[in-house]
Amino acid sequence: MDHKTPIRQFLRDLLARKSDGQPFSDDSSLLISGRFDSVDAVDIVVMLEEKFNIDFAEIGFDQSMIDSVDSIDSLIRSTHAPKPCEGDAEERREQTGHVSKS
Amino acid sequence: MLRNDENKQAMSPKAEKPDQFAKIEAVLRRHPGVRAAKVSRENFGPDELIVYVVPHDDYVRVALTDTDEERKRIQKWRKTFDLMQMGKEAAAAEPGFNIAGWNSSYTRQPIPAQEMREWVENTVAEIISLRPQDLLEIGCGTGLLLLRIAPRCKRYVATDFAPAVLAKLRKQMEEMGSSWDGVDLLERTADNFEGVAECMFDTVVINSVTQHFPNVSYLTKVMDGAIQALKPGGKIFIGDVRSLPLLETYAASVELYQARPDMEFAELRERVALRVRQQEQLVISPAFFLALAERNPRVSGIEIRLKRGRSDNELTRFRYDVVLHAGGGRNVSTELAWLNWTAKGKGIENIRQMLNDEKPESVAITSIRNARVEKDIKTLEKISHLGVGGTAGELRKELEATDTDGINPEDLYATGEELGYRVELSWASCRPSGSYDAVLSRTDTPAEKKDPVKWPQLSTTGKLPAKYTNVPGQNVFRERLVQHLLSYCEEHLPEEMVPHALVLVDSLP
Repeated sequence: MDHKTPIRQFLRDLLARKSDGQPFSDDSSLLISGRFDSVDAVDIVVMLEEKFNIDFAEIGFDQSMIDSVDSIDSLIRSTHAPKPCEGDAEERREQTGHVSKS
Repeated sequence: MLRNDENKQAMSPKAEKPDQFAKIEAVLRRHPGVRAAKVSRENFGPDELIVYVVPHDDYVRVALTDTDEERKRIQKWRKTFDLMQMGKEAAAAEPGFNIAGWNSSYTRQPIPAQEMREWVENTVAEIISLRPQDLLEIGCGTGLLLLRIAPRCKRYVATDFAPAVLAKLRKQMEEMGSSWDGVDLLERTADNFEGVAECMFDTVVINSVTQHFPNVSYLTKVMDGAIQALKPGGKIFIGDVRSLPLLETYAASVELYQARPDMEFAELRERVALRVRQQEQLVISPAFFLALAERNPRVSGIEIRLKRGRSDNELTRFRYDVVLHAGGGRNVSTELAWLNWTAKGKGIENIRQMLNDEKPESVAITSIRNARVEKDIKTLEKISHLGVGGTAGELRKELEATDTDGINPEDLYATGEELGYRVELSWASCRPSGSYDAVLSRTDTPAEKKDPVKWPQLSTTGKLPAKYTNVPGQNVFRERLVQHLLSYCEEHLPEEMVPHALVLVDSLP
């Protein structure tokens, strides 16, 4: 599923609110580069929590996770990875200490 | 900002006669959020009808004081702080020194740990000098102050609104292993004084918190609650307040630092204006606290102190501390003969010489140029002059080559200490130049025999006018206002006269 189009649109709108009409590519750093600040990061986080059911309290948070269209896309993909079969899930639980909610 | 319905743009033949402009402008002016409106004559065509609108400041301000808006802004900050505690930086923090999230506006990188350490130590020293026994800390965060001050108090009640932050603090307290008897941690917003009785505490601390308040009325509510909670003779320490008189200077300083070398002054000017307007934090003039003290009979004295510290960063340059004293009746303060130190060439050496030669009982000096912000003031001056050209790179070079001739407050403290003088500094004058006032008095006169200083201060009406703070979060509201005004035009104007776009400006072009 293509997540990038709505992400691009969301980020474009968020930048427009800051009167930032400069273009960006999918790998452009938007947060670490300073185009977004920590308060804007909350808007991105809330969008990901609401639209993609990502639980940051569970997976932890780092700015690099939501720094660009690409990083957000891979974050969604990693948390929405197809459910492994039971045996795999057990194995993964042991490796990581937790299983993602999705 | 364009309205969303792009299809309509292509469909509607737009107003073509200038006499229709007047009607569009008149309709918009009738809206309570609009102070002035003007149709753009330059960008006018069948597919282009743009109107410049100057919004009413009061309308924006009132809209943002709306309780729903207030709640949203508080929730957003809470989330910001909780997220900071989920990162690697917080996980790696040394016990008792969790400074995750303290980033520099200039570099966007964490403020160096040694600078934060100096900031913590100086703040702790200021608070301990108030001799707290029963202390209420509003917004304790990761416990940078609590972990150092609580062991000296009988009771330490600390509140914070971010659950993840409090959880981290509890964990730290457990790990440090000390006894934390008498310490209570409460999860609540700053304006919640439930269970706090009148005259319950001798000290209230609100450190580096006010910038996250949603608006001036919330700030007022918290201050009123804090004053109520105070015993007679108690003190409120409001630390790390961002200075409104220096907001534009701060913005100029950060923008110059970040600018490409070839950036022209005109672009820098725009960026500075944008940074000021886009502030998400509450920036407060010392005048707010002066007015608060004036209107509240429980407040007997007020000090507006410059930050201590040798570190050269935005905290020492653009923030200040306030100490409010509660007591029975107003303290009497004597008038002093103030020496004006504005002139160039009046440096620290002249003060040293005066103290050495004349050995006065005390000396009061006003308008001391502040070495900490001198170059930033110059930056703002340079780029503000319309018609003066230049680039960021050229200005940076020029500033590097210029010596500062103001006095660093820490040099004044050091000189005073060396020559046996107690040094008090004040920013109550609220001058946008960042200059400050000083009183030096001989340490062989006991502090308690000394009358409180009547500092030069901006005269306030005591009514807490809203102009004493900025309006954080304007951007979101301005965006909403544009959408709202476009709908308003659709309701009140024939279709061909509905603007394609509204541009909010500070004054009409």
